[in-house]
Parts: sequence; C-alpha cells; structure tokens
Amino acid sequence: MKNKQTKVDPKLTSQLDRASADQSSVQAVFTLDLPKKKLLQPDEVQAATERVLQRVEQNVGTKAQDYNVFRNLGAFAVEADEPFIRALIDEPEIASATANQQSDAAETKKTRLITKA
Amino acid sequence: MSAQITQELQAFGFAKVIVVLKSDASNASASSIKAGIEKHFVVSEYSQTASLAASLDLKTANPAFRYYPNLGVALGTVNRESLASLRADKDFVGSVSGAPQISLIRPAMVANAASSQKKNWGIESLKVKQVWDAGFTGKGIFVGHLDTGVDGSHPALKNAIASFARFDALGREEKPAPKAKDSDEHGTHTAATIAGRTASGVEIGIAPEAMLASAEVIEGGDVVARVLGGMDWAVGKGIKVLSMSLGLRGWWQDFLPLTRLLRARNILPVFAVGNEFAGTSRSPGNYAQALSVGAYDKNIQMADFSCSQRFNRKRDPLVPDLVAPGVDILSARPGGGYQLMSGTSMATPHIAGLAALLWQAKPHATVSQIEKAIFASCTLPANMSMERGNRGVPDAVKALAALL
Repeated sequence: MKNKQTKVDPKLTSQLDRASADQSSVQAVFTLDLPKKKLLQPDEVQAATERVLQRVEQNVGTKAQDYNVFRNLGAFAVEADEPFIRALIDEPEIASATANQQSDAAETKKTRLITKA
Repeated sequence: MSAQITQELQAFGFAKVIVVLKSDASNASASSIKAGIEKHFVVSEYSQTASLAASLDLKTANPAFRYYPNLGVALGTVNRESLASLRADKDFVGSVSGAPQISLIRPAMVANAASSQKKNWGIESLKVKQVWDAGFTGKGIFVGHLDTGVDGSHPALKNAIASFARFDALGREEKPAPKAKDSDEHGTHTAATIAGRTASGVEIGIAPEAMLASAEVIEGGDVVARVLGGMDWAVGKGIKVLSMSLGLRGWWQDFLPLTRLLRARNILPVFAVGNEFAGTSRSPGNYAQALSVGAYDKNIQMADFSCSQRFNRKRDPLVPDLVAPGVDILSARPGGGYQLMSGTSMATPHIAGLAALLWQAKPHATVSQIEKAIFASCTLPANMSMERGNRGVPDAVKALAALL
C-alpha cells in the first residue's frame, strides 16, 4: 500500500483511457520516489527499476515491451500495455508518471508542447 | 479534482477551468445563465490577461470568465473557494475540468548578420572580457547543452564539442554516436553563445574555452524520454552546468524531481523562462530550483516577448530569476556563417557560459555558491520593473568578486 499519491500527467491518463479501448501500447516516463537524504547510485537506480518492473510483471502477467533506465536521474521510460502501466503507477516506488509522447498524433507538427524558448 | 487544476491551484493560487453547463440550463436565457454562474469566477491579478493589462496600463476590466452560448460552455478562472462553489452549483453546472494549454511554436526572431558584425554585444554587456583577462575562460568546465543538435564543423564550434548524442523514443543513446549535426539552427546558435571560439575575428562565446556535452533532444517529436535521455547522458559526462532553452508552456511538475536531483549532484540548471510575454512562463524554467533566464535588449530594456510570472510559493516566487542579453544576438549558423536571433533561448546560454567562468575560478564551489554569486552581481535597471526583470542584469566582474 503506498502512502503518497503518485503524480500522474493528465495526458497520460487520457492516453491510458484510449489504449484501454483500442488495446494499443503506451509509452510513459516514471520517476522513482527517491530518499531525500541519500543520492542513489546509478546501479541502485537500475536495480530499483528492475525490481519494480518484475513485481508488476508478476502481478499483471504481462511484460513491458521495452524500457530504458535513466541511471543518473532516478527515472525510467517504459512501453507497455495499459494494465501494466496502470499497475506500475500504483507501485510504492513511483513518484510521478508522465506521458512520453506529449503531442497527439492528430496534432500537426507545428503544435508542440516541448518547444524552443 | 483534475491533476491539472490541482497543479495550477498549488502553483498560482488560481486555475483556469472549463465548465460544461447542464443541458437543461440551455433553456434559460444567456443573460440569466451568465448572471447565475458569474459568482463562481474570480479575476486573478496573476492571470496573463491581468498582467498584460497592467503592463500596458489598461484600466479596462478583466473578465473573470467567458460564456459560449452555442457550446453551452464557460471558460474562466477560479480559486479554491470559488471552485468549491462552482462544483456545488446544481442549477447550472454539469462538469468542471482543467483548461488545456496547447502551445504553438513561436519561432525565435531570426535575421542575417551584416558581415561587419564581429561581436556578440552580450559579451560587453555582462562585462565578461574583464573575467577573461583575469584568466577565466571556462577552461576545463563541461557544460550540458540540450537542444536541436549542433553543427560540430562550424569554425566557432569545432573544438568546443566534447561529446554529442542523439536519443531514440525511449531515451536510449544512438550507437555509434552520430556526427555533431543540427536538425534545425537553434542549437548551433545557443551552443556557440555558451562556448563558441573566436574564429575569423568573430567573438560570440561567453566561455570560449569551456567544452560542451551537446545532445539533440527536441526535434522529431515531443518526447519526454528524449529530454530525460539527454539529461541523464549529460550528467554522466561530468557537466557542471545544464543549459536548456526549451520547456513546456505553463506549470508542469514533470521535471521538478529531476531539477532537484541536478542540484543535489552539484549541477546548475539554467533554463529559459519562455517567449510568451508577461503573466506566463514555461516549465522547468519556472521552478524555484532552476535558474530561470529572461531577455533584455541592447538598450538594457526588457524584451517585450520575455515571460515573467509570480507564483504562489514562499521560495523564489518570481520568474525569471534574472535577465540576460536576448535580442539580436550574434552567434553561429549551421554551415559556417553567423546570424542574429532573439529569444530567452538566446539569453539562457549567456548565463550558462557565465556560470562556467565562475566554476573555473572556484572549481570546488557548490551550485548554491555559484548561483548566489550571480544573483549578488545583479542590478535592476531603473527602466525595468521587478515584476518583469526580478533581480535584473548580472555583472561578471561582480559575480567573480562575490564568489572569491
């Protein structure tokens, strides 16, 4: 049971809702709930990520299709089906979850969220 | 409550909401609907329309909401109390949700440089030359630069790129490492403002002996993992400063834990505040944990496009933290030439370069010491309001003195 609520990007929530309807996979970026007083070493970040992914895999019964660990940042990106991502959001190690694709496919190339300033 | 409304209420004390009115309310007249829901909305002094009106000295009333009778929808601003009353309104209100903030690219202003132009005026404005004369040129300091890429063959940059990387959709580094190339022209310009070498007598870089760990992260889709991949990679390269002239319009917490982590790793995050005028800003440039940079022009006047915004928080409530040269900045163009660009994107690498000079002067300084020295050197010009320019214009000589 987790003590804190995971911060979830509203865009990810709507992507998950869509994926649930059309059975597509979702890419999301997660940050780990890091201890305040200790900076995790890259190997510890890798191990913590693999631990939580394995736990979700056992609980949900499916695997992540792909993932990448940002070892220096305490974060990782995952591509998986919708139940896997929802289960991952609920894990105690997760601090925040963000949609990886910030532009909807229907939007034109000129409509972007991450832009040059 | 939607996450977006929660985030905006936390950050600003108000939130923009879309109210879908009850379908049976549509039988009422427009004027009675407007009168019925008006009490739930507030005029916020922090909203962009209010900030613009104040900066233009307009006396006209700022509407708290707009009603769209054909849609049966109202768009307006609420605080916590008025949101509660809005949700409790059983007569008119069907649902309340956050208002999406879609942002269009606002291209940096670009112009050809006259061949007679040989110098970035920002070097003189920040008094950087005196710091070079004291022996500090950024030598031995690595600066992270995440942008559209960089032209590594440009004469001003060919000895400045220590590493270059590109990332796939999940933020994995492409192997083997590609040649340093710019997918646009923005990244070459910002990179050369940080660490451009003097070539053919053209002087553009603030820290002309610093080395760049430069990555292409913002072309080919708006993919968060590519930016994180770039941040992660740059941290692994031993950078002391991270310069990012990019951001998400509005307030988004996604990069907040990572920005905290950069500081914990003793890396100064220097981020652009955005080009969408007063009363708004971009994340991560608007975090208290970032050194956010606005833009001024050659006449030491605030650039009108430069964002500024006050937040509902105790620490560092006003962004940008300071301003730097950001109008008609001469820097490198992919392919070998030079051009002028304007934007807070151009101001940001000036401060990243300044931080590199200071770090060379005191290699064991903490990120807070470097930041404090820069802040202590700032002066707010008489013609610039604090709400727009905050601490004002830094001075490299004073910053060095404050640090040593």
